[in-house]
Amino acid sequence: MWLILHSEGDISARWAYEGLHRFTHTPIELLTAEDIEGATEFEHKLGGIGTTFKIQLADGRSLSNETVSAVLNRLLGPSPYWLTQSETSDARYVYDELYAIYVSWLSGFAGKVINRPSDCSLCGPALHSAKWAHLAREVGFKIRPYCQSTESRLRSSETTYSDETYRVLVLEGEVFGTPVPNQIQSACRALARSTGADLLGVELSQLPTGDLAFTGATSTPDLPNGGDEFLEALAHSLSSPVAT
Amino acid sequence: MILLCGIPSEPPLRAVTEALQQIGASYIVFNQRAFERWSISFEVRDGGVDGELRYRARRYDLACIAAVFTRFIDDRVLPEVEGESQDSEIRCKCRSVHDALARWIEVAPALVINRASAMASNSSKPYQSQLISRHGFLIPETLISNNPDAIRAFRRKYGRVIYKSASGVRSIVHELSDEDERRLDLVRWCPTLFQEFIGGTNIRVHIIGGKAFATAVESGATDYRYAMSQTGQSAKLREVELSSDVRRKCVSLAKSLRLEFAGIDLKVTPDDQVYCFEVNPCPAFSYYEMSTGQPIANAIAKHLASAGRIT
Repeated sequence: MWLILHSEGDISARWAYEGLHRFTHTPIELLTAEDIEGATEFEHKLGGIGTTFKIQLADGRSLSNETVSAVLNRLLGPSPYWLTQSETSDARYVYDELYAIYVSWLSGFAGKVINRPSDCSLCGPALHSAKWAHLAREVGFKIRPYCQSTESRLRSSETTYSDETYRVLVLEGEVFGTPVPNQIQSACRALARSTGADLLGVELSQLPTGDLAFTGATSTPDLPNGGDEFLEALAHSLSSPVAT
Repeated sequence: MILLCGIPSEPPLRAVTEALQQIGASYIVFNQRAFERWSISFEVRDGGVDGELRYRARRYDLACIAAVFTRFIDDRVLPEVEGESQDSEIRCKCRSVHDALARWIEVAPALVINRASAMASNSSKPYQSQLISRHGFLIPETLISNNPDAIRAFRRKYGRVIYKSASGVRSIVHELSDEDERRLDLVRWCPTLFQEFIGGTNIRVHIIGGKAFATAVESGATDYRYAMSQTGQSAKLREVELSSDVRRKCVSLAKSLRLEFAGIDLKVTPDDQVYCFEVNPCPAFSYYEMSTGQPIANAIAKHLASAGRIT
């Protein structure tokens, strides 16, 4: 069984769920944080024998490390419900606890996880714009400058960029989406590699010189941009063993 | 130039400041409580990261800051913003200065003790445990569950079991008691972390710049930080030597977590098994230094000064 974990309103997750069935006979479950938090039983163990999990959902579905072979992780956090309960510190505590537990659960899962949690985020690398710009520069992109000041939080860039945004998907070293020059493809791959992202969305804009400049990246990109070619690669990736 | 961030009177920051004075290193202190007098601007461009930090009329080129030591407390709870509404001018200024400084620190080409991104593994204890176990340390058997029956079975299996927060939220470690068992149904609201109790001697290892300072903590308390309230007696601390194998593992663990400075919590069982519970990325080392005389602040100061040979 494959899991697609997502947060409410994630159209890409549903698109992948519906599209993947054309490329696999493997059962697929689409789950939100709300589904997990309503589970009648949640159990996650770690220690000498490794890590395991067992989840009994309220609707009767049952998941465990023995029945799930792969996860497409687009889960941004626990249910936002907890954050709306601002009057109680207990609700904030529950949110933090659930976040920590999900990070451990998905990190320790022995099967395939596209995008496993990182130190900073539940879903792959979720970095601040300044950090993305810094890392993009290091892997060879021209970047749209990031400016921050306590005088005015963000100053507008002096450079003019085209309105057209180029959206590229990188899945385990393969590049999908808007066609871009080889040099840009290489930089996209390098950025995904340097941040440990199995799946990364990269956004670029055209400079007056014609060059493409990095403007942003995300570990929860718009998947339909990759089309059927991407879906097929995603199915292949979810079927593949974990790289060691 | 070295930048120190935090509250100057807080013991660890004060200890590092004094140690920097002793070795004659030049430094500036960003006092969080004086945030209104500070401002910062920075840019990430094709050519790199540059910008300026300003304190009243003084200006510091960010490129000249070769090392940073952070002991930030949550700026939302500073006394200076107490009672301020969420969108008050003073609270916005406070957030703005702290946010800009934190963002710059993440991309600064400087030695940083420690970057927030490196400290983040501590926000999930079971996640960090998994990283720890890859370095050859034992970790306690752990169950995270919202099922009272599974927790009772876990306690029956291991006899003594403790519970604590899974997140970075500070919690007092308690042993699961019969009385706790009677209210276990409450865990149905939120899965909770339980661990087998490991007996033995607590060892706190501070790693700085590849050096290790080990302190044994003798206490009958489940959580020695609260020894007085749990047992009526203070914990007793003494300097100890680590075996070369354990020292190597500690240094390697801190390095893999990208922590220039770390407080590693070990427990050595009576049969010499070494468990690792946690890596604290912002350890309050002064408590250990004051009790044992170990020169931790001095090692931190020298490590900071070693960045670009600043003295």
